[in-house]
Amino acid sequence: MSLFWITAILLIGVLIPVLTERLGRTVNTIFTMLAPAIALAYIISLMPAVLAGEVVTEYLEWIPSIGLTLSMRLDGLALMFALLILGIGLLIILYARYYLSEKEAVGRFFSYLILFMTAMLSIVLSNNVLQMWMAWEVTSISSFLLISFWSSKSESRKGARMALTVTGAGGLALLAGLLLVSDMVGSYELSVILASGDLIREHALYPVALILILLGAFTKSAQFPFHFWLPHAMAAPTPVSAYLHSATMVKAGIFLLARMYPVLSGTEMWFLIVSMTGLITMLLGAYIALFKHDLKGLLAYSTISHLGLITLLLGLDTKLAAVAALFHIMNHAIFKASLFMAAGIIDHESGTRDMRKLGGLWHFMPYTATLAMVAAASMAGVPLLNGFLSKEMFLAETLHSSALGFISWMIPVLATLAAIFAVAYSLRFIHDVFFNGEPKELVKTPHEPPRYMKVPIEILVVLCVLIGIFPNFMIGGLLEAASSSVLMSELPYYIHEPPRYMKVPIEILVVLCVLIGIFPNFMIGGLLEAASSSVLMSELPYYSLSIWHGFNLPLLMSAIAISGGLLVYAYRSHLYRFQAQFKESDEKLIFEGAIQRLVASATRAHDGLNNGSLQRYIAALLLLTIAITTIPLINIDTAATNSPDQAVSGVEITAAFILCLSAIATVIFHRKRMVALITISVVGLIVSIAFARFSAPDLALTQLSVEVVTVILLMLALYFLPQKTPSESSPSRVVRDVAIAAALGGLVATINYAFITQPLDTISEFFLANSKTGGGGTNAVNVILVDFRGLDTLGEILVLGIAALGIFNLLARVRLAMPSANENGLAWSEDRHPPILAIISQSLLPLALLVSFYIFLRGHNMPGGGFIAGLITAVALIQQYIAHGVDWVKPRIKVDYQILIALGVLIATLTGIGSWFFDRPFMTTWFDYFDIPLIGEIELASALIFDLGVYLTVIGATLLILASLGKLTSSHRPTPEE
Amino acid sequence: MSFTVELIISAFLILGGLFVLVGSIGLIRLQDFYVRLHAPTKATTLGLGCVLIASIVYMYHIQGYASINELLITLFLVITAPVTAHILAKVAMHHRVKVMQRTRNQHLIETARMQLPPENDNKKQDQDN
Repeated sequence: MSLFWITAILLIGVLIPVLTERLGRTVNTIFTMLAPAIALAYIISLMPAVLAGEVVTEYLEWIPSIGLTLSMRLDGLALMFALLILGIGLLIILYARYYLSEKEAVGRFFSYLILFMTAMLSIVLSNNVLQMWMAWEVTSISSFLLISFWSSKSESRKGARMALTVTGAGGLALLAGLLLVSDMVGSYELSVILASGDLIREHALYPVALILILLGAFTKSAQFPFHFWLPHAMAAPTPVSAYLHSATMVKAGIFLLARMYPVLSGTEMWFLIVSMTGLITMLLGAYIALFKHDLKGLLAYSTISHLGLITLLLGLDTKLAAVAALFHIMNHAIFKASLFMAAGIIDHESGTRDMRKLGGLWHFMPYTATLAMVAAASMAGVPLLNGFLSKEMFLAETLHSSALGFISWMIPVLATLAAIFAVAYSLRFIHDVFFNGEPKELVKTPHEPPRYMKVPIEILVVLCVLIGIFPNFMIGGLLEAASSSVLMSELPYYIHEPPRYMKVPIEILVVLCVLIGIFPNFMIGGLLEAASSSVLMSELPYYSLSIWHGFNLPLLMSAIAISGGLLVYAYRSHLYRFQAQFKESDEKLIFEGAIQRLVASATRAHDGLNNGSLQRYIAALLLLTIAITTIPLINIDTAATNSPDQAVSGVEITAAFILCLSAIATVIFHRKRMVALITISVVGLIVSIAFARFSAPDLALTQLSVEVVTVILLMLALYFLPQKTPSESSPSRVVRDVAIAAALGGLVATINYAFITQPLDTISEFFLANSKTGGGGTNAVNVILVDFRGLDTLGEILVLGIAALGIFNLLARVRLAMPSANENGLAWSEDRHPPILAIISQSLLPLALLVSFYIFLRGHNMPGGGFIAGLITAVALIQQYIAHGVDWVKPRIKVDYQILIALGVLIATLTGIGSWFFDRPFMTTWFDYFDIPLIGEIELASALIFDLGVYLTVIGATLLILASLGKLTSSHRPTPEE
Repeated sequence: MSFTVELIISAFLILGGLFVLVGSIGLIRLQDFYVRLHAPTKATTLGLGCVLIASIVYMYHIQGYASINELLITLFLVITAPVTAHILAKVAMHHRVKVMQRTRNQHLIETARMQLPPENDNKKQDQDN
């Protein structure tokens, strides 16, 4: 078994829920849990080795030539996260089975969940930063799918979009940062990067890379000022919230900070940015959480606060702080998951999450209440629970920090303040939901609860711990009796204990909280040590995980926090009144507004550039070309110029003269389109002759055929355009256009001159030397096309085919006005298809096909080939269209040009693939010589089949374009009814 | 290459050159479009034919067998040149291109343009559509 199997198994696991959905919910759930369970078992089997300090790494070569490797890494940090992701993930699946109703697409939900789990695991297990980034982005996308699972709700869609936008944008920043870091050390491998911390910290670009990576981490883990997406992601089904905001998603950002800790931390900048961000986030989250009436909203802001706490710990300049951070990651995952699930149960069973409506649920669901209370107590940092332990460590570390220099004393004070709020909102969570009177259907004005109501809480917080350890012994019987004896009439829903197994995940987590709280060393000592040492990458500082450290300052701070929290909660009505003065702002609206402004400005910019003026596009394109080509031309060393050694004869001068003349004539007559077309075709003709003159017969043939097709195409297009072109260019525009044209013409001339005169090393020698021996053909041009650069040709015919299909689709529904007369008002001739032309064209067809076949066959050794032959065939067929009209040709040529294109591309591709069967790389040409009686020795090459593909595609593409345009002139044109 | 062969090739080349020259002069000198049409279609085609014959002789002498390429080119030329001339003339008539004074049977131009038989004006109305 290998680490790669974990990803592979989970990826298969993505499909399982959908496949097993029809087998019933329970079976479906069990099958869904299979893949994570196997992965978890495998991770656990590796645990002893990792705990002993070993780092498991594995490599899989992918594209070694550019340094891309798939690699996995399981160290302490990865182990800790993997256990959290898989362990809590399994519990979430079990919970979701009871949470989601029958009607919902449970299979799809589970698939998304497993996909998300796979991505998260890939983040923590990857040993390559690009691979990690890829998985990072997949978490963004799969979390989008999960958050928007109830896609019929507008808030789900908005929340999901916001989460995707913020984390996606952060992901881009992260990519830039990771690329910078990789560039500094020269490797994408995490092992290499982690080993070169000093190099990176001393690099000039360190601040840029740091900020980019921190942007990625902060957006993902909802740090201020990017925290706003997290509360809106609460529109997701509760299992998703419980998973995303306890053990995964937001923890990915924290994981990144921890992962990069050995490399990036240790500088002033790191401490300042990370600790300040963490501090602000922690305070802000804790403060806002108190005022949220929505259960999940409260938990969301408390999550933000705790994430801030962890970030602050990572930003403090002591090593123990990092240990505390990891410890709190674990604890937070455990208690936050159980709290979210408890909130989900309350929502599920009572129909609302509004704490103003809820209350007194203790009577209806005492067992759930107990569980929630223990978890909330852990969140508040009540002694004997795990939350207390890590919070204690946190408070102790804030005391030792000197990150902020002389004002460092503020950190412990603010930390205590945040802790006070944490206690207050935890208290509110419990009190408002489970106590505090009866459930209310209508919103009542908040009022001070009766004095006695608070007494039970104080007792219960103590009780919780004991119950947490011995739940059944303590209250098992009592609970059963209590719940069965309860009768309710006021509630809109019948509130009852949730199904037995829905509570199991919470029970497990709560028990974990308690156990870690009481026996920290035994439970997680080893794991914490392994994780911390892989983050710090140095000797671990001394720390103790015992519950009792004696009376010290941190303990005092905890005491202050708890009593302060009680006080704040007791007098919360004053705070509410104060808070009510502020206008409530909806981040969703602000975000939507920002997005809409962005879209509007993008549209403005786009409209400015893309205003439908073809002239402007061409001007922009040409200006860019000028800008790009000028710079290298300036850099050419004029000293190394050779004088051109080619003699010029009178014929060439005459041809060049005609070329220039007809080009100028095109410009002069450009408003008389027919004349301009004729003059421009003269240019094409001279270019073809030039190719033939300078020993490029293949090019000459191609140019000639392309010229013919182009002129016909242009004539068809001109037919639909207005017959007269008004003179519409202002003088300034004429000047602009002439300037651009002159500059570009000058540049092209310079480039040509440079080609003639500059010393040049070309690869043409290689092609000439190898075309016969390597490709089996003496026509180097054709051998390049079908063999040396065959892959390029394959791409080109594909593009050609796509372009033809695009034009076909554009023209399929277009309706153009058909002019009935030319520009002088002369009606078209009645004689549309003169018989002489028709008969002669028809009789020429076999001859033309024969010629194209001949040119096709000889292509490998003499000028010709599939491309030219295809064009010739196309021209021969177009001739039939011209002579007889579309109506006549359509029933006679029963070839579907679209199929012809597809067939051509298919043949070419299959020829390329064929070489795999002979253990050769893609597109290897095979050729041999055969002696056939009567005909003599001939050569057969697989390139010929490839060329056939080119041939068919060219015919199909050319005729598809021309026939669709020509069809517009005939009775087959689309009518308004269509 | 023997003198005889060289002589034959040269003779055809010169003859061909002469035809093409005559054709080109005709293109400039002749009076109206219809007459001018004769120059490139007749004289130049003949000239090109001579050049092609010269080419056949030359290639036969070098390769030892007659090449079919030139014959095919001739065939194409002979087929396409008249058709081109025909279509051009039709277009000119359609556009009512002026004819020179001396043109005979000028009264038939319009009926030819309408693709009607030369005499028999009675049937004109039947075929007008």
